Amino acid sequence: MNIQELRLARPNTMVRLGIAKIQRIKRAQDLVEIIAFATVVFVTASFLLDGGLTGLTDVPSILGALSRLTALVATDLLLIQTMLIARVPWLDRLYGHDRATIAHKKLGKPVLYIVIVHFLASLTQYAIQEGKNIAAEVVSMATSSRDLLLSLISLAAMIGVVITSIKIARAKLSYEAWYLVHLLGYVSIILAVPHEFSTGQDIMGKPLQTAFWIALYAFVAGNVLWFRFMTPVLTSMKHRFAVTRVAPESSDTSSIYIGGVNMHKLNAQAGQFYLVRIMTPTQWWRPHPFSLSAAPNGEYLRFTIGNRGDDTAKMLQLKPGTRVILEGPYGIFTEDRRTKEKVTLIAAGIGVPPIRALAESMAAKPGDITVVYRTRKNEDAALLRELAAIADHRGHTLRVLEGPRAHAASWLPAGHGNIPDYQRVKLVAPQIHESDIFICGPVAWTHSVERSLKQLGIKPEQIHAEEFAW
Amino acid sequence: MRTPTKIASTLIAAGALAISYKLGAAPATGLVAASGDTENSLNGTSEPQASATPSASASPTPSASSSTKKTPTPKKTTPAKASGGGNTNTGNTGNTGGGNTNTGNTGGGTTQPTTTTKTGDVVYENRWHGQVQLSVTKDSTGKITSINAVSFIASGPAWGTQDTLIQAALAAQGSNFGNLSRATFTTNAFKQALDSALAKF
Repeated sequence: MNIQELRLARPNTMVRLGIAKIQRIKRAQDLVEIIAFATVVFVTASFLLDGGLTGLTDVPSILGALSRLTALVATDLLLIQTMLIARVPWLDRLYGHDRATIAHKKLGKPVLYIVIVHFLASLTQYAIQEGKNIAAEVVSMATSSRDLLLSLISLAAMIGVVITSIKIARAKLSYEAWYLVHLLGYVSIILAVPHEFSTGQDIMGKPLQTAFWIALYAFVAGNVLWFRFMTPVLTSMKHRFAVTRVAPESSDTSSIYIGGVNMHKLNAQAGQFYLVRIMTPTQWWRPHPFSLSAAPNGEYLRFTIGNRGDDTAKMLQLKPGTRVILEGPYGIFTEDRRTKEKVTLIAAGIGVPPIRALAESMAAKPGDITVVYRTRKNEDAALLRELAAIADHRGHTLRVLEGPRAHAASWLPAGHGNIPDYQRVKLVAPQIHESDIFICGPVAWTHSVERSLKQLGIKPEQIHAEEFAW
Repeated sequence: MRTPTKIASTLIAAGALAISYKLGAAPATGLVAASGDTENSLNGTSEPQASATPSASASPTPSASSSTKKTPTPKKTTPAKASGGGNTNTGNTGNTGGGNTNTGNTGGGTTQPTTTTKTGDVVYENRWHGQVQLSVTKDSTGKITSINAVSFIASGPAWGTQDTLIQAALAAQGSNFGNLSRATFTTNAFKQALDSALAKF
């Protein structure tokens, strides 16, 4: 392969090594988490200060207090949930898209349970007070107050969001269907607002609490609107992003090249990903997360994608000139997180694009970087020839590990007798102890690599992996 | 969060919550329908009003002793039945007795038309923990000259609507006026409270 054809970006010339920057990030993370935690404490404290737990003399008053407290905590957590998934750059830089998403997933079900407790508590409370049965009370709620009707719809939407999220986790639902339903999450949060402000005893008539909640809502809404809607649209309009070329890379992967004006002004880094929204009448509404498979070179952005889902098959038939909107760049799978002079890059299957981009752009002397590429069949491995050309050009060590895996739990191919994975790593990448390790591949495979590294006694700070999480 | 931060923030949070609980437990406000000062502060007008506002702490003794004093507006206070208090009340009308005040001719020389003030029952609005009690003043011709909110507790959009409702009732000279939109429950409670006061004349 001719190295000129690849239009390689100039490698970084400087990188700050050492653990100090990681400490700074951890401090910033702590600060963000303390603020988030403080909001929960604040709403609970304001409830207690208001005498929320006094005068609980009978069942309705206990239910009333429960309903108030759960409402406050759930609303706060829902706004935190929204922030976690809003992909705001300042959070993304601290946690990376995957960790924020994992936290969002973990919090999802508990928040729903708290909301349901709030709903059941207030429902039962009113039913007892008004001497109605539960069903009659639901009807009475839905018909007596527009705000309560909206909040019931909001609850239904929220249940829908959580159920579809569990379904997709079990792969029973396509990404596209899930995406559409998940937009209901925003609807759910918006529909719940009127009844919070019109019937919420902890807000109405209390200036401090009113100010707090308005500020919180405004902050979250501002972040979502600006970073999720305005910034991608404005950036894409400014750069006039459009597909310039689609090229097959292997039997099940292809590359999409995105061009535009002033491409050298983009601040993307190798290892990051974009949410790509193809602006055709049928595809515009659902973006897809694609990793950059080449460091941004000032001419184009290149994404290499696996032809798996129904949408990715359509991507191959894209005509040059098709407009796209890019959200991003996202992710902390970048050289910013590197702490050591030596680097080991480990890729498998469709995880190769960011590894290929990092190999191209990381600051290194010959021999500093070892690239491990795990393939099923070398003649059908995406970007292998490019990776070989880059390794040759920059003096990286390239280890291609071909073949079916040794056994079910192994992330390495068969061979080398019965040596366990973690000992074989040393053979493949002898400088692994002194290096930062960047891993990208399928989730289960990535976990098993991480296990091996831990068995070798490598510190977590040295290991960088970003999961495909949405 | 790193472990030291986690421990520190948990401890601080626990302390803050404990203090909040302690402070919050002191005054009996919140879920239980508030009584006393909060009600008075909601009053929009400064008309003389019956002192028979029931409160849990009010005992018959102070009002009995006050009869010895000569005040410009003598109070004929009927001892109130003990209030059910709070939202334990399932009915719509409270069981509180009303107080009557006659503002007759006082020591001054000018002759004024005699006005009579009657206070109605407490009406609980259960859905939003609301509560309304009104005192109505009529002149000798039977015209309603003023309506006074002895207590008016309403949350949400109904918060602070007492003046609007009082104006509407004065204009209609009774409870025959339209509902305040988004405050239907409170309007209904207000009308019941008004009718209960008017029934005492």
